[in-house]
Amino acid sequence: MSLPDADRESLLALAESGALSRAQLDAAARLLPLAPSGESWLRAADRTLAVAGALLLAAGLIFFFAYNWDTLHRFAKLGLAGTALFACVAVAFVTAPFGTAWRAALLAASIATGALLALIGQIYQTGADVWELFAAWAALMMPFALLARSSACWVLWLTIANAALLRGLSQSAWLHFFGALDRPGALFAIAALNALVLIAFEVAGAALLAHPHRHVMRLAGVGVLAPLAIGACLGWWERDFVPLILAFLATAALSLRCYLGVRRDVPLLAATAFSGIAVASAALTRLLEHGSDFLSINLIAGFVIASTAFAGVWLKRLYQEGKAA
Amino acid sequence: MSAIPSARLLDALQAEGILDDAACEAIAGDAPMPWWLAVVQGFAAWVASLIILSSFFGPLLMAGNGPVTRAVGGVVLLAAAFLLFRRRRTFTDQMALAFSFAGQALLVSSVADRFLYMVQGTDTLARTALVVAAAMAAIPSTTLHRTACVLTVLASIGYLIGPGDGLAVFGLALAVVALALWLSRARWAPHPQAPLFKAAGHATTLAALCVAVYGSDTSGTPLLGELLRDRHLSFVLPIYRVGAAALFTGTVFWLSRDAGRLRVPLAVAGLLFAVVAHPAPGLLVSAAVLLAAFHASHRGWTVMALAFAALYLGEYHYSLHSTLLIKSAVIAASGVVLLAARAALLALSRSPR
Repeated sequence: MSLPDADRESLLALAESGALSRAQLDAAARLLPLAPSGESWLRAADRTLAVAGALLLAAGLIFFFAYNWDTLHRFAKLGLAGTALFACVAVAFVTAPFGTAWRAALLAASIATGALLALIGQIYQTGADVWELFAAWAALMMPFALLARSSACWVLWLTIANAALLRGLSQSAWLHFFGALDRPGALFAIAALNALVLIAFEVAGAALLAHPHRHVMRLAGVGVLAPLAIGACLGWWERDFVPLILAFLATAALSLRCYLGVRRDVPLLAATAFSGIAVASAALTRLLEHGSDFLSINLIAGFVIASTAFAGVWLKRLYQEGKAA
Repeated sequence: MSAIPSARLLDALQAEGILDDAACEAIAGDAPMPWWLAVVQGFAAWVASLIILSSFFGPLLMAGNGPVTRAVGGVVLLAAAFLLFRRRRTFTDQMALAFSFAGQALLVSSVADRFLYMVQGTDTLARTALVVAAAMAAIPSTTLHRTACVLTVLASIGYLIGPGDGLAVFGLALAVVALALWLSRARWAPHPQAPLFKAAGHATTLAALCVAVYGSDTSGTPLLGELLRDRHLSFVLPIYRVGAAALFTGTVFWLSRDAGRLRVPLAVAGLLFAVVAHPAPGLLVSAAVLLAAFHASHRGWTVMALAFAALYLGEYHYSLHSTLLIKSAVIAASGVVLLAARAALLALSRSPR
């Protein structure tokens, strides 16, 4: 029986943890040599040298243009950025749909779109706010994300869309993206955007993603729970935030119902459980606020320890059940 | 974080009689939790630890913030960390980590009678930190805690050595130790002190890569240090360049010793890359770590070496020791050498013997 290279790290880790003696490790080396074979080195060298060589060459070109940047005409600068975008789209056209090169080219095209928009803003000083740049970037890269149907592209799109919303709703010149977190309406808006994305991907995930990964759903799920949990924590002190407590409780209950019973997703259950612990800890702090003595502080710490330990045991059991199934 | 053994690996070890049923069940049952759950639990443990620490030491330090109070508080926390580490659970391990760091900081601060000493730094503080961290690295604990303690020891040694040639040689020595540890991983893996070797491997690798990326005299980090402490922290680049080139070439020579007819082409390619890329020593150190980590089958450092190479390129772009034109030539020529090496390697490996 022979084992794949991927198991070598586990084998060595078992020996390091004391689970395998030297004699046992030597015996296991007959199943899987303890160093990569010549073929493994060649395979890795093929990929690494190609990617590293191409990246260094590209970095050299970027350094060269940076050296001459100030003397370049604005059309030359825009031409360079446009050429990069065109080259990415051209690569996508000539490669097999939904392959690695196709998805990588469309992801690069999505990034190049943002770079081109930033360059236009820099050259022409359009006066646009940062949120408008992010919003335009999210809108213009959406066709690439729809074509690529890759998690990486959608994760980038969701991040940019959230950045646009956070920056657009922020009224603080100092807190930038986080200035939106001090108003209930803004927190509801962020949760609503992510909820729409989450529902869209849960319902039409097969059409939007070529491979059934759940990265986008999990990111959107955290995007729903986090603003509601922040608002709910503040709700124990501020009357304006009280509706967020109710919204959080309803969302957490729905999340537990859906991701425990309908479609098991342990990372989203973990996000629900730990955001619930944060909200409950805030409630306990509010309750014991007037007795902020040694006992009260340690009672809160004890609650955090007990609840996270319980959640950890429960989630690990669910995770192991999922692996076994 | 240790890798989770696959059912396939455990089945194979069981089928060959290397492990019995009970050992396999124990390993499967003791499998670590997924990293994202460990991170969230670790964060919760740190929050709980900080709350407990504030409840104990807030009033204590307000009552008497003297060296003796801090020393006693530090020893108590280190003892608590020692006891918590014996339980070996994710949550208690993280609490012990927080207690250990707080205890070490209190104990080290007890030798400084004024806060200003901690900002400007003294050799006494560095020596105390070195001894305390070395002692804590020796106690059985998690890899993360031991790695952090060894890092404190290395940082203290680096501070005591001081700037200039010494720091360049120290940075190279760190890289040599890191490479030696990863290249010999299969030998020390079953050793009873393997967890300590592994922590030393992590710490020296991280320190060597940080020195390679941020230790240069033209990097922004030493400049910040100079502003804060009025001392030059950076090293002399020529020594580091030559040393990094020698280190990379030596690693390629050692790894290709059994490569048969590919040995000479590999050695030539390694030497050529070292010569072309030597003005950018961070690339050579990152590349050497990449090779050693791949040999040791450590996926984490294989990826991190690439990430540090990318970080180094960003730092190199802003370094002031040569013009962007020269730097672009160095980087592009290094890329051409790698692409040419790949083409030659593939052609030679496919050609009939």
